[in-house]
Amino acid sequence: MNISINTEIKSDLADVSLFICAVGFEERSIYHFKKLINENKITKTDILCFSFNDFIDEISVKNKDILREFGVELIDVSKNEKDEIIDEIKKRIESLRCNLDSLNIHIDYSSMPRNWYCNIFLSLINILGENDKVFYWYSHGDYSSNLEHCSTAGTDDITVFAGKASINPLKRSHIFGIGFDRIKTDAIRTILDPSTLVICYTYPEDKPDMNSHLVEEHKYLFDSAALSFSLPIEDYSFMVNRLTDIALDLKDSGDVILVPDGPKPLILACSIIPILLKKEGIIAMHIQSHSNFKPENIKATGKISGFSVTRN
Amino acid sequence: MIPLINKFKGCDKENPFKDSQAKNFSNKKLMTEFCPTSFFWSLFNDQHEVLVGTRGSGKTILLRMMQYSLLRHIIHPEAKRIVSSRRYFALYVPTNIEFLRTINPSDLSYKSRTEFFQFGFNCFLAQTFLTEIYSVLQDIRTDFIEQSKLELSLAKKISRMWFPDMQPCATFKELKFQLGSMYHNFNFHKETDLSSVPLVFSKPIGTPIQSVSGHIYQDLEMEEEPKWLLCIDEADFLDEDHLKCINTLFRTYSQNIVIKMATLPFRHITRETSIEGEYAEPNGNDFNYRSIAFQPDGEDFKKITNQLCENRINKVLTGEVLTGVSLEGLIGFEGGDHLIDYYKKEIDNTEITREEIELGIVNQFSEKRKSQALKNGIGSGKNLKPVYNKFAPIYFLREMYKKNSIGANVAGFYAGPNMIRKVSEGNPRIFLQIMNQIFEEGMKTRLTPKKQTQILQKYANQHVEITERLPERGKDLAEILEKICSYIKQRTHNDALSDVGNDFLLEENEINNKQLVKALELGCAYSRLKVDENSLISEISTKTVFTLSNLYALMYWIPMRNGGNTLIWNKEKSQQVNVKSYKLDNLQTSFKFE
Repeated sequence: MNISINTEIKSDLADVSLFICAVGFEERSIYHFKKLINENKITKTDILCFSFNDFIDEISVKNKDILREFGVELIDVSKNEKDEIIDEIKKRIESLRCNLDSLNIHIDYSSMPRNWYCNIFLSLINILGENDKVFYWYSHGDYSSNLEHCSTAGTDDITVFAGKASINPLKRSHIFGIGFDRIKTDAIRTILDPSTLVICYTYPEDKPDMNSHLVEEHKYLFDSAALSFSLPIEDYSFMVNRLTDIALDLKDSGDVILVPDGPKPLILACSIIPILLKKEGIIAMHIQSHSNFKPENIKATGKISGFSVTRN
Repeated sequence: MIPLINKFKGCDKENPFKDSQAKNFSNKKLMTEFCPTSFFWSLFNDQHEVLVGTRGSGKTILLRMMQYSLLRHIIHPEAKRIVSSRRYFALYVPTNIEFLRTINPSDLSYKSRTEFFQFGFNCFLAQTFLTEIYSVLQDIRTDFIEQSKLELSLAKKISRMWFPDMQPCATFKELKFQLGSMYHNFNFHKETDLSSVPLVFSKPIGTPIQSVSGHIYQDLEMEEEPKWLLCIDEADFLDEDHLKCINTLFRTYSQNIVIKMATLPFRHITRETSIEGEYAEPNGNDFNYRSIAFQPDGEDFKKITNQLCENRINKVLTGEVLTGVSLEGLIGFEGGDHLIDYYKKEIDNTEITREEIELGIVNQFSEKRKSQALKNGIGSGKNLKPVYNKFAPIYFLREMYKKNSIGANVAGFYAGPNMIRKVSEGNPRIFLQIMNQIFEEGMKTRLTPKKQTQILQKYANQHVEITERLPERGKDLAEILEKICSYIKQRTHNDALSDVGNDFLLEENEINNKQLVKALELGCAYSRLKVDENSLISEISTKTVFTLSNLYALMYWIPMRNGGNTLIWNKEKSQQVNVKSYKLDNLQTSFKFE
């Protein structure tokens, strides 16, 4: 199915058929919900909210209580149970379809694990109706000041999310999406041992200092890269288009392996490139959280970015 | 002699030492870079072998160069012999992670995992096989018409075996297309079995080759059916189920298939086979482990590093081709390129005598050792080996460290070709990375010993800094090494001059500390530590001698040598007699001397 991706600027939604979110150990996980409910943009019946049952701490309990106060029913899911949440979403959409000709589905993926939001994207493009529109919203969080959450990675943590590797490619190029988790990025780099390395990263336009911070943080990685480029986190469709161009350029000489980390919009953008291009030899890999993963409370900065997906 | 590098001062060309990985090298570049050694030629044999080497040690280039299509371009009597005998054919199969994860998505059952792995592997293998026999075909039929006739005949035979239900292919290109199509159209996520693919591809690895080998070898003018050397690269990504498939091949009759599998140290994680209770036995029974490490001061590594210098330098030269380039000629050296030469240069006294140095050594001894040495007589024959030869390297190091520690002083001690090879640990990639920085500076300024020391220290610093970010146990490894190195540094510089080394053993009860052992194994895979060959190819035990890498030694100013007293890593027995207790911040770790 051909889809169109457009950057959305306004986060004060109108006409919400369904609002999907995840609540967990980050304060930011309820930021968008609170904003919308306070502005009367959504009601409790429009909400499909998942909560993690893996990492329960003081903040997650508090977050859940807030949602319950508003009468929102929570579905407890384990972080690894992506199929369960996809089934729930599909069920909900099917029931909405009985009454509505077109659906406006809004997803706040700010606090979802990557195997949730990437798989939600993958599933929804296959059931998208002609007049449907799916919005993906991201509440920005501040990661730069706290590097304590940095984990590591091992070979077993690596999976292919989308795409198929060629047999016997001429060459292989790796596109690394990076964030502030230097330890994890370097571990992945050591495992994958890329010979043609391309780095992409993103930061909010109102925080230009994050650019130099990232470059400094990953100095050795940048030194060894054949190419590096930054992407505007607010402009999702530009991000996707740029990544698509780069992947296609590199594909001319062999397989292209996207290995995203960093902010969720970047992870999602990198992950969907093989889905959009549908070419053998363009692959997106995912690095699952390592066994030493420690949940960190990420606070919302107040900024929300988004994009929408429609059928062409 | 003026170092060749001076010629490049102000040069605005790209640093020729920038590329350090053979994975993406074109065949042409690979052939230029390749420097055959006796180890390489010895790989053409009938024995299954697991080749163990650190990251960057040259595993990929070895396996890629074994292919007939590349080997036939090498001008070397041994290459000529192997090519003309057509007895061994290497088929290069890199098991990169995206390929493995493609053919083995998560959540597959054990049965499917194994079957899909065999299928994916066989598809890859078959592609490589076609490329290689096409090279033979080109060699034996130079006339185009004759070549096409033979290709047609071979393609028909092969396609009948591989794709019996299809119209036979007329060319290898068509066969490759069939293979690609079969792989492309197989959905590894959705299929539950291999009933949709031709039988030969669903069988154990190597079956597609075995199925046709006996039918085509005579057409390829071979006297007997050849041995197909399956060169499996990046086998460190293979998991237990995959390794079981390969181990099964080791254990059973493999019908002209011989495995050469390259992996990181300690990454051949199981010897189990697909048959319960059956294990593949090393030591020549079913297979052999072989270490591919070069000795940093060995002739092979010298030859390789010189050839790399020659090739890379010629890349930046226009209009001339230099031959006989060596590392020595490129960067120059002091005196005989020994430690003493850089020591003499640094203290600005080239005339210093053995007696003067020996007196310096003796004066830093403990009282007991000092009186014995003085009794023997400074400069005496009796002192030559046990005093001068043994302690001079540590004495130089101590003196240089003192000099280096004054303000912003740099003691130009870590310099010269020997030192560069030594800190490269016989690892071509580390060598190229160091040379990248050496050449970068050489284009800007004169490479004095001080400058070289600064470059090597900077590189060592990066190397040490990155340790904590190595996969999985990097943080543990960094912590352990930091503590050991700090301890040895203190012993080297703060106490009386003694026989300090850069090696250590594990106490018996530490062998069961899996976290510690895993961290140390990681250090061996990524050139932070070295172990004796026996441990490298089998397992870590109380007999394993761990040696800190020379880059760590350089970073911490500790000797690049094994000491007479080996440190033992021990967390429990600090109360024992002769135990030198050294309280460490968190681990409460102690060391004892043997």
